[in-house]
Amino acid sequence: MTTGAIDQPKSVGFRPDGTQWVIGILLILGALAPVFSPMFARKPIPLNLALEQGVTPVRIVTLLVVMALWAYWVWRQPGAGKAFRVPLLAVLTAFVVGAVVLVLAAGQDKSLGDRLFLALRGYGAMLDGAFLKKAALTNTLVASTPLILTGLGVALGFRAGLFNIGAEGQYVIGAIFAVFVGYAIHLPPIIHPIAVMLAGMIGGGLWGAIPGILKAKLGAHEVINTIMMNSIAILLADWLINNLMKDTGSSSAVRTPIIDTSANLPQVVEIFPKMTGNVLHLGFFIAILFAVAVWWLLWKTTIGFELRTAGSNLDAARYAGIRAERTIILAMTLSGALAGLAGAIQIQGTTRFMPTFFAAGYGFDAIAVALLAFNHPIAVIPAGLLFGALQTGAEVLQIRTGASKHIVSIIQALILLFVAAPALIRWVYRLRATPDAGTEQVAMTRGWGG
Amino acid sequence: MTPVIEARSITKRFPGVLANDEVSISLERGEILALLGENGAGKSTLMNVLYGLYKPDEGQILINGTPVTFHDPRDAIKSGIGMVHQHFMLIPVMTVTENMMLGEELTKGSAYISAAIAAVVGGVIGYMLGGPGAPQGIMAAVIWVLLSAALLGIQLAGIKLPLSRTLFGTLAGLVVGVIFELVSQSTGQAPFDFPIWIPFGVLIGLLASVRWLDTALVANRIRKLSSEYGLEVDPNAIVGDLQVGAQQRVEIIKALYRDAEVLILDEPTAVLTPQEADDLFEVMRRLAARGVSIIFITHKLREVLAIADRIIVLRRGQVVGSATPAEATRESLAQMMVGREVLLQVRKKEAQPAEPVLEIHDLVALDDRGHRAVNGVSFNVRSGEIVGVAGVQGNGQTELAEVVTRLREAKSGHIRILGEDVTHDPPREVTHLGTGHIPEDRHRHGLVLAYPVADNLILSDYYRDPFSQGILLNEPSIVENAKYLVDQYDIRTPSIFTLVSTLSGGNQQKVIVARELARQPRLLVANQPTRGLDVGSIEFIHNQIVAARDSGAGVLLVSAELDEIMSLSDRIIVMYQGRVMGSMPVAEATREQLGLLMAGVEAESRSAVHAAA
Repeated sequence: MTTGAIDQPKSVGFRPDGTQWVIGILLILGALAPVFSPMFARKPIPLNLALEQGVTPVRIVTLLVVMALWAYWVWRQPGAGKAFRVPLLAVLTAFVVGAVVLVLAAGQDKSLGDRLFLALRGYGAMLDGAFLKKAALTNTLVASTPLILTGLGVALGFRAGLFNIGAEGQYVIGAIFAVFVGYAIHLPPIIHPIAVMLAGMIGGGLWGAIPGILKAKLGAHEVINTIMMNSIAILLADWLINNLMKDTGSSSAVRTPIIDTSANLPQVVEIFPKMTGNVLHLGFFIAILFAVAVWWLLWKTTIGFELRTAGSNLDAARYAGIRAERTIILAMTLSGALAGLAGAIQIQGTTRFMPTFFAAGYGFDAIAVALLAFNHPIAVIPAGLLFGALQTGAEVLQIRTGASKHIVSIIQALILLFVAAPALIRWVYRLRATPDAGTEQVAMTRGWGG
Repeated sequence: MTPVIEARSITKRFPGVLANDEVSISLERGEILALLGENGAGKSTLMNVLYGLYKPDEGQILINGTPVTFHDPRDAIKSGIGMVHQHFMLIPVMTVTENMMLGEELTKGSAYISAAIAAVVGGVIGYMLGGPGAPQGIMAAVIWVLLSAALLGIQLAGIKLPLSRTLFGTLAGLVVGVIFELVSQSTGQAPFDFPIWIPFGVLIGLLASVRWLDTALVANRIRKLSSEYGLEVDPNAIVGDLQVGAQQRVEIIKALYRDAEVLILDEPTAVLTPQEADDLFEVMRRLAARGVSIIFITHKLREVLAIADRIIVLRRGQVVGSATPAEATRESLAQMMVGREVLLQVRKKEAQPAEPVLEIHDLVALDDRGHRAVNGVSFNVRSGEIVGVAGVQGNGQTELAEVVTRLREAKSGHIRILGEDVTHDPPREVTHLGTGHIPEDRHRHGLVLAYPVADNLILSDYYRDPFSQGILLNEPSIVENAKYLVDQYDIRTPSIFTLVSTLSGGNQQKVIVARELARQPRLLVANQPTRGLDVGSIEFIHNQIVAARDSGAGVLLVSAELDEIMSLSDRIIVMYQGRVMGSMPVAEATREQLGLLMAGVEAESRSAVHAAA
């Protein structure tokens, strides 16, 4: 309870007003215009070349400086921007500790000087691999897509006061449903991909609803049940792919049949021929769409109001007439549906079939993404992009410097640690706690109290 | 005599509000000063300035005549100021001793221990790793011992560090480790391929800076303070198991432990029973006699006259007057607080009761532990009538109110609202029929603290026209509703988008009252509606309740304040151990009679025992 609360900010968190939003967007466009403008010149050049030529370190630095100044300007409003401090510092500290780990683990027979330089080269390689190299940016966007969607699911669950650790299993089951509709049911184009996505959402939603019902009716804690459902899902999927859904024609890998081309998510290059985005598919934009949709649901509808109220204060919600059971089941179903959609899109956009080792830990990364975004659906987008960048950067890191790409797991874990325990960051950097930390803390601490 | 603490012309501004306007107060040694004021008058702000939580925009604080500046509560504590907040800052799962140590400075003793351990470990293992018997081994031992000594020296010298102490030590160890590794690699004497000195450095740095808890020392000090000031407290008790009065004593000892000479008590009796409040006054007198000066904030005019040596009244950020108990009366104090004549007794017309809105028949309900909290209660509330339920807290009144509003299941019996049997209906049904509920625990049932004022004002009606169409929320009408209610009910908030957690208790309660009464309920269940509120807010809410009654609502009022029951109710029923002990029109009730019934003494005449219809 706040009695003698520290200086109370007038506004509520980071709320740029209309003018500031417009200026911020104009700044980004202005900084990036020189990069993309060759594509629209008299003799247009394709996207990947434009990126290669245009994205120079100078431009990146300029953009960062400009955005930092803008952020500082918005920050200077009373109370504005304070909400960003902890996640930014968490990421920064995680990278610092990651550098230390790189130094320590740099293999045998290396001098200390070599090791320190290795850390710098390693981060440089990650930056290259994530953004600067040819086609790196599109790789990052593609890698972020499942992270954003599963992150949305987990964030939605947290907003309703539920710990959905089962995004992994929901992702897999969604993929199973989706791939089945993809290869076994034949529908005309446009309808087919939509049907596949719907199937993914249904599969994931079902897998999320089960622990939801168990919690609502029996009070069984969703953390335990969702974790167990993960195991069931992965093993079930494995069995299905090895037996019922096996592609008898394929010789090398054990996998399902390839889905119909009509079910594929179109590559951006098919729609906009000038951009050779080679792997960028519509899924990224669908993910952004859903992020906006979740935001709309949570803050503009009665359903969202009920979910958030139940997540903030279940007692007051009950008094207000909100039926806890219904809310819990709905929240878990929606959360699972989003994770299932991620699985569907991943198949439709990239692999086009489902191999046996499909689950790549997205469900667990999603938790980190959601927490880093402080469970805000729009913030999940940059958080997902960051984790996607880490993933693509890691490959280049390993190739160039020989350091294991699992260093990013360490960095991700550290980010998660610092974000889940913001007090740690505040202690290190001597920050004051802000009163409107209310939402985040409530989401975290409600877990075991039921 | 120099005042032990003095505030001169303190001015504090917040965006949109002048919380303190050139406020000057002074406190003599051993004096008990009462600070009176409405919510928003600036008392809490002033105390937070004195405690270092806020920095004044203008003005000075003087301790024993010397001007001081506080950057945070640590500075205030060092200057001898201690504060006991209204909501205790204790950790329920820790013992009294552990709570006492929270935030405490490193005691010198343990700094030596840490440094010694680090020096021994560093010296011995460094020697062995460097090559026992060889000069490198000796050099290693020496370096690590020196590091431990340096870290100890930094702590003892009290140098202020940009990072927390433990982190600084760890980083220092890391740096020394890196340097040592580089040196040993360049001289070709690294003991392993792995750069062992770096993590070793981190370990030694950490060990040398870590803090050790000395619970026995603290527990002894607690016992000494406890006996010296007569504050009974068991150092090994777990705080969560203690009664509220005992927890408050722990908070007071926390302040005394840090050598407080000035004790600030914020609404100390808000959470106490009358007996515990009397015990507290005894403690305060004892403390004052031993030279501790006390400032206490309260709204209860009766207590102020009982315990204070001097009274200062704040209104809208300014000091409007001071008095002594000898010269002041409750009425004169209330007038100073509010700026106009305040009716401490609610003026109301005669009740015109009509048909019953609430009928309770043989109701039985269990409390959270499975005991019969409501044990066969029957009575009615009629439209246009206020029925007050008197009784010491814990005799089933809370459970009764919860069952009526359907937050709790009834074991047996019937509840009828406006003729409809609602005994097992969900809460929303009861609301639909036209019931308003002011809950006892406003933070738990009444509000969502993380939400803005506007959202809290539609908490139970969000799903209806005009606040939503289908599933879409209608934001303009929510905003309009909020603006209207904030104006109508005089809710003091910087904006309708402010989070309700930052509002004062009185204004939070006004939000709840506004929301419930705006629905024009036929039945209003008010459970402790003015708990923890100031005179102005109390008067306001009482008037609202009477206004609801006059417009035809039936009111079920549950309150532990006998004054409130007697001034508001038309009819009073007394509960004791889940049963109705007596029921009578207010004209026939006396404090003595009610007190006896509240204590479970059966009335002489049988007619008083049976609930009147």
